[in-house]
Parts: sequence; structure tokens; C-alpha cells
Amino acid sequence: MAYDRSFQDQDDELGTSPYHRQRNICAFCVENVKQIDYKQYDTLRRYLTEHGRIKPRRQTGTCARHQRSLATAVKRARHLALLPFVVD
Amino acid sequence: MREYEVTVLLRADLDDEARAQLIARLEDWFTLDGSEASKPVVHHWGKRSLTYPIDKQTDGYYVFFEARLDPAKVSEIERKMLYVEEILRHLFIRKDE
Repeated sequence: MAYDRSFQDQDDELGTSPYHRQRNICAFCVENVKQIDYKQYDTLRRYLTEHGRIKPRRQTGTCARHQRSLATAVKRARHLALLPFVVD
Repeated sequence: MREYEVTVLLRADLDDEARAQLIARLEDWFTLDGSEASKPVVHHWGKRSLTYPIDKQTDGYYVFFEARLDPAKVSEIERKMLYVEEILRHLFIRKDE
């Protein structure tokens, strides 16, 4: 039993286990960002899919608070035609 | 009084003189009283291509203002902007948000 657990822990660290994927860390929390800026549309572009949709948190690891702020920023940038609504 | 960030998207096909005149007019709208201190700070982002066409335009000229405005006057300024055909888009954001 003890052996099993240590084995699993090791797997986690290596990030090889398909069931225990390492969690992404919110990039905005690391940078200590308060409010995400719609003017930095090049950075925001990374959070869009190839079709121009906002990527889900589960893909980017963004925390809930920053995801909300990110959505607002993307929508502002879209209004100014800095980011696309759709890419087909 | 409140700090605002105002982004204005102008048509790119204006000549320099017409653009300068229009920006001067906007500056005037963003000035509270005649004093120098109440004048907005103007940043020219310049001509950029739009990610989607607006009014059949593929390029636009971006001007960014930092202004202190009376919140009650903002909607009035916005209404005035809507009548200016050379303005494709505008965005008012309170600075604390």
C-alpha cells in the first residue's frame, strides 16, 4: 500500500500520469495583475482559440477572477477591432 | 470628476489635415474648462489594420486619450461622437476599472 502511494506521487511530479495532470498556474496571478488590459491585445490573443473564441479556464489554467477580467478585456478589444469576433 | 480612458477609432483614409482637425475637436470636447490642466493627454497609436471590416474599411487610425471628465457629460459626448461619420468606434473606460 505504502509502495503504491509513493509510486503515484512520483508519477504526479513527472506529469506522466494521465489521471493526475499537473494543474496550470494562472499567468495573471503570477504577474500580480489587478485588471487585465484590453490594450495589450497581443497578450490576449494567446487566450483565444484559432476561431477567435475565448479559451476555457481548463485549457489555460487562468483563475476564476482573472478569467472574468480576461473576458471583459477581450470583449473591449473586440469592440475596437483589435481582436476578432470570429475567424473562419 | 473622474479619470477616463477614451479610445477613438477614426477612418484611415482621412488626410492629415482633416484628422488633425478632428482630433483637435475631440480634445476640445474632453477639456472641462479652458485651462491647460484639464486638457486630455493624447496618444497616437496610428494606423492599424482592423481584425474585421467596419463600414467597408480594413484599416483604422487609433487615438487614445486620458481625460478627466464629468461623468454626467460622458453620455453627451458619446452622443455627439455618434454623429461624426469619421469615427468608426469609440470606447470610454473608467480608469479604476
